[in-house]
Amino acid sequence: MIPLRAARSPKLIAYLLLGSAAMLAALATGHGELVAVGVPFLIVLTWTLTIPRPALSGTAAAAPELLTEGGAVTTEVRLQSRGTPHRMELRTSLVAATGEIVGTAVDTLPLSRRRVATALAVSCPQLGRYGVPSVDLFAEDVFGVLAFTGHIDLARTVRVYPAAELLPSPPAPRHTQLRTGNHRSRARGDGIEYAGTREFVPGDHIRRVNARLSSRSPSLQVNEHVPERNTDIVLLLDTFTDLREAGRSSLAAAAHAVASLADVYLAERDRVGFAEFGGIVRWLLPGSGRMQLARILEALLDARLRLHYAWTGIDRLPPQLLPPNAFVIAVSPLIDGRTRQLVLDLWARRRDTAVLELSPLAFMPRPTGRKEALARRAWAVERRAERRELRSLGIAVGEWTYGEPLVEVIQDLDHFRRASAVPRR
Amino acid sequence: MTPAVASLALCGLAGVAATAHAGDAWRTVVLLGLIAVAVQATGLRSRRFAAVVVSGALLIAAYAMGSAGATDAVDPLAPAYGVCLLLMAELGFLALSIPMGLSGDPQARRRYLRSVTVVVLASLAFGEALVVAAGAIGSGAQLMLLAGAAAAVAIAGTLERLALASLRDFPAAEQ
Repeated sequence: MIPLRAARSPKLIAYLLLGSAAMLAALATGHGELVAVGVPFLIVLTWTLTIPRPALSGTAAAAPELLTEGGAVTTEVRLQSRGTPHRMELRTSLVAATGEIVGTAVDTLPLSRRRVATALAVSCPQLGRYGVPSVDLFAEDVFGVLAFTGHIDLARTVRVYPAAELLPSPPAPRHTQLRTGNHRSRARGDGIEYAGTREFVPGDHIRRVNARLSSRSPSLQVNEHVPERNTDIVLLLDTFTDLREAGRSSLAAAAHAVASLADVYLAERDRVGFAEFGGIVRWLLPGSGRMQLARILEALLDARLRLHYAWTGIDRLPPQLLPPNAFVIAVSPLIDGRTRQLVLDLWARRRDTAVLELSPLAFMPRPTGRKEALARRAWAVERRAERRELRSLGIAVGEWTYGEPLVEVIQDLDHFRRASAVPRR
Repeated sequence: MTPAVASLALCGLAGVAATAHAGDAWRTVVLLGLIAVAVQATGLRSRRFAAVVVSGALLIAAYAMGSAGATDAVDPLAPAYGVCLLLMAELGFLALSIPMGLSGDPQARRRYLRSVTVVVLASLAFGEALVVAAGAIGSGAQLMLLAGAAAAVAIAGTLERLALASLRDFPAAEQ
């Protein structure tokens, strides 16, 4: 049985006051017609007071527990009512960890039947951990004079993972590791892909001898192949800044990009590490496989803006996070100077670095006046100059506007890296 | 016509009816009617349900003032005036979404309209019976006592029901 609490309806008070006023006026003036004036209000009150209190029992269940951005949590409610039918409003909310209500679903049911079943769907626009605390009930009679409130406890936690975008080919790393993977190594060795021929030297396997070429040459020629190797990728998520506009969050958009990159690199059998670089630094050491993807997605759920006044620099990143020849991709709106400094420090330490710059303009309101528009343009020019400076150092910077396909920016990054000079060794 | 506009129109109509019923005190009644319309309009715009109560009370006061100046003859249109006030209040509350969820549910709308019709007809019938009775016994103190007792019973019943309802909500251990 669902406990219902009687709520004070404004209509009940209003009709009580108006009916009483008419009766008092009748008593004060001694005129019978004033009784007739107050009678309609008293009839409504008498009608509603004769209606028995609704008795409700039922269950509610919210599912699924795990879903991706844009999905919906559906709360199925089954109610059984006894007594005179009432109209009922069901309401359930999706509550973020901060207490902010991010979505609400409302359904109005005419309880003309004894058994009612309905489904309340709340869409989850952004990644994160959310709670579905309860289903709130609000019942009232036909006139809305008597109201009753109650709730069915759910206490369900929902995890909304970022919806990873399918990327056909990620930016190729400049250096590879020793394990087998899908990236072409710069070195020659055992592999499938043909790289060229050279003269036979003792130690070469006889099966590598190119018979046709050797028959036309004075010496034996052997085929060379490119070994397919994996690489270490470190994805840095800038949590110094979280711009919010119209329910969209720049941090959630950046997490979406990180999830997409992690997904594609792990599918290429690379080892992927993750670091949340902000007021507090959190990290996951490089690993491979679907389990690592699950770990990264879980870490992304907890990524949020954390203010801290301590200076955060490259020395806060553990050395194990950045293995030799690792490819570091920073996903950042490049607003906070500390992230830019981190990218420059990585470059100075000869790390293969690229920046996926999340355009902050998509998370800012439109300029309202001429002065604001001019300031915005000046800021855009300044940002463009900073981007050019990074590119002049050989650091690939791709600007991504949230809502546009990520794949185009990734391809631009790849083209820049292929076209730019080989970094210093 | 939206419920708010219809409620305002009925408010004005009730003011006019109260003025027509009034005798020498018509100026005061007109003033009260105008204030009631202004309060209703302001309240519906700012979505304050108290405005419906205040404007209804002002119109009842206007009618009572008109009745006080009138002769002993019982007004036969008093039940219609009461129904007009009820409809004004209902439309005002509908404009404030009370009862809720009415617009989106055709079945609820039909039930609501049926209930309002029943209440209006019952009010007219009961009011006319009262008026006839008052006319027969001359609007005397007996009828007033009867009306006062009925009102007291209705109000006490409401309060008792509310008190019982809140008592039932306490956990068993605290009872």
